[in-house]
Amino acid sequence: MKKSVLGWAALCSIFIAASCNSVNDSENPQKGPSESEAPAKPLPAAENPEVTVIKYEQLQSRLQQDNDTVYVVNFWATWCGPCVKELPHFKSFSDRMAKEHKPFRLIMVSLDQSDILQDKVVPFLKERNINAQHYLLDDNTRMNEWIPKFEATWSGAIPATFVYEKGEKRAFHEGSLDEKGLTQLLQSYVH
Amino acid sequence: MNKLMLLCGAAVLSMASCAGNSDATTAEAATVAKDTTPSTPAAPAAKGYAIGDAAADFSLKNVDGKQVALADYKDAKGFIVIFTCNHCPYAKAYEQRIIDLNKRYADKGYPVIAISPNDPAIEPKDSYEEMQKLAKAKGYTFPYLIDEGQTVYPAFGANKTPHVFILQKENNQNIVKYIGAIDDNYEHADQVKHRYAEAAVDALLAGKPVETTKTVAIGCGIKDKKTES
Repeated sequence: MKKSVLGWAALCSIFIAASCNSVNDSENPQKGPSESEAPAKPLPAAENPEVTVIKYEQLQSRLQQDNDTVYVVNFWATWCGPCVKELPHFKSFSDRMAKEHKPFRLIMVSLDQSDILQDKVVPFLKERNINAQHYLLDDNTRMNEWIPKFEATWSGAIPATFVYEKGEKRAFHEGSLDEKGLTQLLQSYVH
Repeated sequence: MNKLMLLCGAAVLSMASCAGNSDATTAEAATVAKDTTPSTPAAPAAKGYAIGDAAADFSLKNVDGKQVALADYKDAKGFIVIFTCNHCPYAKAYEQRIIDLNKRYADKGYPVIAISPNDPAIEPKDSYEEMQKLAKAKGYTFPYLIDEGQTVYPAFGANKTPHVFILQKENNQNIVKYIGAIDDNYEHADQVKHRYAEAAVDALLAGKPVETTKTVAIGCGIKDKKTES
């Protein structure tokens, strides 16, 4: 027992160190993804993305921003095939915006069940490393209320993508987007 | 030991905030929410049936190999048409509730007609063979039809699974009375507060107008090559 406690303590400290790579790089000899041996080690390749569990009102107020940033809000879920398929386009767009220092922010809203957040959603997002703010909208019993509040024509099918600017909804797209479709949707807002 | 693991977890969690420090937008959080509902420019016109429309009949292949049409149900007072499928987690969550709907209402004149609208070439779990397996495993007592040409779901205007259309026979027409979700809690059947579909059929059986005629819920988009980009 004592041994295993010590083992846990060691593991724990490694884990903590690894969870903030940028700070601890010099102290942590095993930084980055270890592609060679010992794949069983619980060393994260990157930081776990922060995913905030919220209700509709909180998400809506998050979008009421009086600044020059264009917010792209993507509703998705790990189980949704077309959502997962379009993620790389959102990632590369967001990366490009960041590189060009554009006032742009991607907001990813997961509609997964909150009880799989840590086991499924977080690892899934970590693997994809998307430059975005992540939320999990835990408001399943009020879908009939918030879906039409977001958009009267939204059937509830996902993926669904919104563009917000100055606290106002500028565009809505239901269904998946390819690279061209995403660029077209955003071209009048981000240059 | 357990305490240590907890501590470890807490420490990791607190460290996770370093992921958020680089976030340039956190300073905006203080902005007050505006209580306005902005309109969307150029919203696409909704397709399919509206409440009060007459639904066209169809003939689709059931899991038993036979064709099924609404006209086959001479004694029915109406129908609970549900676009659903095998693979979708929401559809799965509702499997038992769909079985229960048929159990409760088939004898009263409102049988369930389940239709899988997906293209199996896109979602192999929704193939005809897999549908047969599911219907057998779950003991479906209602037709589980495949929309092979993918023409029926667009006529209805179904756009996700599960998507319910409740029809009532009036002068030999099937009039759409309710469009939407089965209830308000896909996650926990035991915590449902509003049973939309049941309430609609109960109202029709009582000769009363349906109170809530339309609801929306998150669901899986229908898999169709024609509409997928």
